Amino acid sequence: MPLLQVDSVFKDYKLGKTTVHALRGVNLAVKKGEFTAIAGPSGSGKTTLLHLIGCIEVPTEGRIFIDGKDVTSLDADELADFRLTHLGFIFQTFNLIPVLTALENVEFPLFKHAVPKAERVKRSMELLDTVGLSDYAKHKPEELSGGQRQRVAIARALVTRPQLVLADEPTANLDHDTGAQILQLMKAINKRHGTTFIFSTHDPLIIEQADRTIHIVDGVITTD
Amino acid sequence: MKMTIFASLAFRNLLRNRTRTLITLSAISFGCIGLILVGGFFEDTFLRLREGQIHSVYGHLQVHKQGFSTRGKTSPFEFLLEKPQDIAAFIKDDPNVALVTPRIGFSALLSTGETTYGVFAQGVDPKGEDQLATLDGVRHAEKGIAVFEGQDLEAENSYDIVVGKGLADTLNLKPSDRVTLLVTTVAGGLNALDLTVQGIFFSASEEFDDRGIRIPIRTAQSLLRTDKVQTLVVCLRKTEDTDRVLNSLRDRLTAQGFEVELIPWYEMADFYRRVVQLYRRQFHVLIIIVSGIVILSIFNSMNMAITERTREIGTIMALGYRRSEIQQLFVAEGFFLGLIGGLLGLLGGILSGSIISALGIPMPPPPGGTAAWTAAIEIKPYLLWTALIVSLISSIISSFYPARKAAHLVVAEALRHV
Repeated sequence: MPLLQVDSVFKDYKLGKTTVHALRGVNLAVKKGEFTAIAGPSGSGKTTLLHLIGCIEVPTEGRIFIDGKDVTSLDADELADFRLTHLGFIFQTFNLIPVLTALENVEFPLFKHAVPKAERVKRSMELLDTVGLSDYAKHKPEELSGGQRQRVAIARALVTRPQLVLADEPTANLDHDTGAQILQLMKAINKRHGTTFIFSTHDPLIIEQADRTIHIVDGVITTD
Repeated sequence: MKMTIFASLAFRNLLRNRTRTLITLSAISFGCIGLILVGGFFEDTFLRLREGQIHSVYGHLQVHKQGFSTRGKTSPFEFLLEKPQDIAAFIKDDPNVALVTPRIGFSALLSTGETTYGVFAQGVDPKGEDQLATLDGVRHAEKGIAVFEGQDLEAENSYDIVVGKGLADTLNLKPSDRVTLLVTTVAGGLNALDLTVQGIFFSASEEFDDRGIRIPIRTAQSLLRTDKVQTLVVCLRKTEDTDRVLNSLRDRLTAQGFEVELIPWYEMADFYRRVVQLYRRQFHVLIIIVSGIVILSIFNSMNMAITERTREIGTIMALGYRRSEIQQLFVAEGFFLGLIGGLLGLLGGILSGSIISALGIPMPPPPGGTAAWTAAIEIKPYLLWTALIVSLISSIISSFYPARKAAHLVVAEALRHV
């Protein structure tokens, strides 16, 4: 059974009187441990697809199964709980909480789990070490570079030990070298821990790093 | 555990936009300071009026012959206390009692030779009244009833008289003027005495100042041809003990077989009661106004914060926090604003209240009074609690709607927000 299964998913948005068809019948299956890129130009539906997989939005039509669970049938609170326990997020703009330190940002999702403080700090520090930022634990996001912030965000995405990490254009706000390093880091984690990654990008150099690339144009998967 | 990080997050977010937080905190603290100062001014007025009336007119308790309060007005001389010394000695044994002083009240005609005027006369023990008039614990005031021109009565049996300020003005009386006091005696005959004006007084009661005179009690008794008194005025060490002492004395006097009735000051001080009622109502209006200020300032502050932090809210929800938790986070911010602003307000209120009290506020004569006075701020614990609770409740109410708005953001839209 695949970790992720997307069945005939449609997503429409109402923009005033017109309806925008962001996704038009997407079918997709991703196995555990895959390192998958979703590629396509701006406005092709990459982010929408990631949001649907990430349980941030619900499809207009179709079903999405993650780890065998039909997430399209869950209510808002159940979706929040599901995101917390099963998914990790990495954003294009890093989205760290500015008033928290790097360590606290990594810890943040764990405050909802019944993880004792010592264990919470240990796990977060290990991850900061994995992303090479253990010396920056007490730094606030504004004291970190873009690449460092994205590393903190990766550590945060992994701290709950999710089965699936979703990254929406994780390198788009970084220079090329830093972007490449971030991707290598994600790939190393994927290889070492077997964490499944799905990330969107339109950068051909980044696409090359992926084990599998799904191309999407105008809300339809063209090549896989 | 979750609440710890939420509290910490809420607190740190307040430090994020310091100017805005400072402005909001100022609005809340100024509201609190206003409540404390106005409430403290009212309390000072109550205290002054209460103690003024107790220490000039009523005493804490008055002891009369049984039936005086219902029928005494029409035939006062039928309700005179026999052997008042025995009753006074018994009451004085109570350790809470500071003073028992006799009085006899009667209507009389006061004649200057040219004019004759109906007055309310009190035969009093000058020493006892002097002790009764002494005020403890009221700032910028020493006497409940004060002679401001000439001198007070001194000897128990002299032929001296002191007159109220209003009455002195009406009859154009000055110290050392001669007057004649004409009365109906206890037995119903007529009697008159020539007296010398010794001084002019004002009390906390304009009514008494306009028609009141005082003469020594022995002089009054010989004028009325009696050896009884009408009232024993009891002064306690603390006003707060009134009810306790009233009940205990009432029981013990009855058990001793004295046929007397005891009336506490608050049953007599009708004017005081009405003033308190009026001011309390005004204070409630002020609470509503201050709550309005606090609610609007926090509401505005929170709404701006939510607009600025839309993407952050989206992120926190994407990470797996529920809508209700986002709401708690923002209500916590509002709560902290209210708490800090309220505490600063308490501090500011106590500080400014003490300074104002030390300097004193010059005031014109109050309604029902004749003398200008110096007011202060009497900060009671309930004022501090009220101010803090008003800022806390208002802050929670005002952050509730913005917090709800934050919690109902669409996650995907919030994440796209720039």
